[in-house]
Amino acid sequence: MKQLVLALRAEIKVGFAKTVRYPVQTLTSVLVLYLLFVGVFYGSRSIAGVVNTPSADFARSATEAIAGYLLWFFALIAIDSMSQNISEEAQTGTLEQFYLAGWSFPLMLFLRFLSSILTSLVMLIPLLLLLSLSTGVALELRFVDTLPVVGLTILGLCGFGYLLGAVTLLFKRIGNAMTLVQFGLLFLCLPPVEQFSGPLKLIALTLPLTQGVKLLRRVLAPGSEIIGAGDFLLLILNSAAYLLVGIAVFRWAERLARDRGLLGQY
Amino acid sequence: METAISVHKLRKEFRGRGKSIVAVDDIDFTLRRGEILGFLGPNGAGKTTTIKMLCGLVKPTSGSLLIGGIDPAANPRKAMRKLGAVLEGSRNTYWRLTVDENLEYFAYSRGRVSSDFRHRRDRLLTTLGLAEKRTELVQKLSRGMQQKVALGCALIPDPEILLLDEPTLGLDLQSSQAIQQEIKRLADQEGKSILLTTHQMEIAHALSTHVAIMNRGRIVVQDKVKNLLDVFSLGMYTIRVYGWLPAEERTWLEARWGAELDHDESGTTLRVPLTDARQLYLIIEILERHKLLISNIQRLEPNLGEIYLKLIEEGPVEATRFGA
Ligand SMILES: Nc1ncnc2c1ncn2[C@@H]1O[C@H](COP(=O)(O)OP(=O)(O)OP(=O)(O)O)[C@@H](O)[C@H]1O
Ligand SMILES: [Mg+2]
Repeated sequence: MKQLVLALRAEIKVGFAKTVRYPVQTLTSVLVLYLLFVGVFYGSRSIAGVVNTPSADFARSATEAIAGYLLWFFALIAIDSMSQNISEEAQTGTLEQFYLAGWSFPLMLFLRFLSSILTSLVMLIPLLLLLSLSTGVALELRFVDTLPVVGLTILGLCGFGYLLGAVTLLFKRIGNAMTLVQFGLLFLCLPPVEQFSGPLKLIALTLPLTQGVKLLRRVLAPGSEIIGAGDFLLLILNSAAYLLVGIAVFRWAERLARDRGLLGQY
Repeated sequence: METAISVHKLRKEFRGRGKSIVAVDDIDFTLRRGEILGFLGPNGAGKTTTIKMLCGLVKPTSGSLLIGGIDPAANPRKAMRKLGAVLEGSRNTYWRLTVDENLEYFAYSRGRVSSDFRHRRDRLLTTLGLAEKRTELVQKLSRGMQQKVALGCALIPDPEILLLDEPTLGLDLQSSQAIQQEIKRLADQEGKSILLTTHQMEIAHALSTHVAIMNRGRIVVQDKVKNLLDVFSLGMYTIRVYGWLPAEERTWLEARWGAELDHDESGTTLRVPLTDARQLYLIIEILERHKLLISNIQRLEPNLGEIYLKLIEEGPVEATRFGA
């Protein structure tokens, strides 16, 4: 256990070192993420022909959009740390050393994901501030209510990350596909899921994010309602399913990769 | 712990689209504590695949392997803790981090941090000649320095066994020698057991205590370097004398001993293969009978490179008689 803490510490330290070492890159990311939100949020509103004047309605939909955006941000982290990172390391030849630490591979990836979430706070906090300032919405973060929802959703995202990680182990160069996944997710989780219909709704409903986004919106919305036990249970089920399936698929991919000699360079 | 690595009937078949490649074909070998085993063989012989199986990166098709007596399939963590590796053609380190950060990362991520970590790290930096570069990004270092960092990262968790896959590849003479010295020191002074692959025979010759030569997935020969050199030296002697031998003596030496004789204006050079030292005295007797003064006797030492080529060309059948 102590060794696991040491390993987590190592990952966090490296994560921070990279974030701080390349401040321009970090700042650019924050800016890009900010502009993306502005573009998508205001863009979709102006297409729908809604007026952007301060009102209860505006505050509500801005809060909802920010809630969706926040969880999408964590999905980005999951995709980045559990898939794109593996691909990068396989190409440069550090994946082998990562693997050689001797922990189970899914556990190592979990540590990396966890440390990425923690280091990403460096970006997330200014981003939330920017969003809050520019929309004029005062976000009440009410940690007691939000943390369980965010935490559970992150676990589900972790499972989603394992799935993508499995694909990456087997196919290595998948950078473009992952970018597509990232943006696909964004468009599926910014608007409320109730607005979709047909197959799109079905897709949206099976995503690891949907239930979390729905609940987070409720928690954060002005004059929020209490979340029912049923909804909460659904979130738990959704995340647990993603996590279990993700780990199982990842383990299978790992076995296949070891059999074919795909871990690291060849 | 006597044997660091023992491998028995280890096999790897890569199956893909219809065809399958037997990369490693039922090999057996051992690496004992404190030994440096030169793991040699031409491109595609299966060296890297074997090393990857030892580190768990490639799953063996069949056979068994023990790392410090532990089966990595049953207890991967315990087995991996005994291993450090510098893999072929890989960075092995994080280029976007400094030397110090890399060392720290590899120590912590393997859970190998004791109270004297700083002390050990500093000592390692000094022995590797990296002390002045410790705060530089690995990216900015020269190829030789980067390779030293990779070695350092493999060493920082203090493994008993090192797997080094072409550690001097692409290095200039100076850097290569620095790495070689370090490898030698690790085995001699720290008792590390080292498996080393290289295509540079002088390096294998200079460092290895033992060699295993692989070709097409099989181990052609495994022995002490000294034994191989002895077997292959086969007592080839050159003897230089002042003066000349009579014709009948010359033909007799050629026919009976397989000697080659060259004469020039100042004397004769005999090249004669002898299986046993007593035969040398017989030859000397003949020379004495004819009052020929010996100016020089030399035993020709073969080098590992020549032996290697011979074994690779002749293949395993011919070579099995030297097999360990
Ligand atoms: N992942 C893989 N999939 C399919 N074939 C592979 C794989 N890895 C290695 N091989 C094949 O296995 C054989 C042995 O390769 P290996 O890399 O072990 O040789 P090597 O002795 O290290 O050669 P070199 O001296 O060139 O490094 C080669 O024919 C190679 O093409
Ligand atoms: Mg190789």
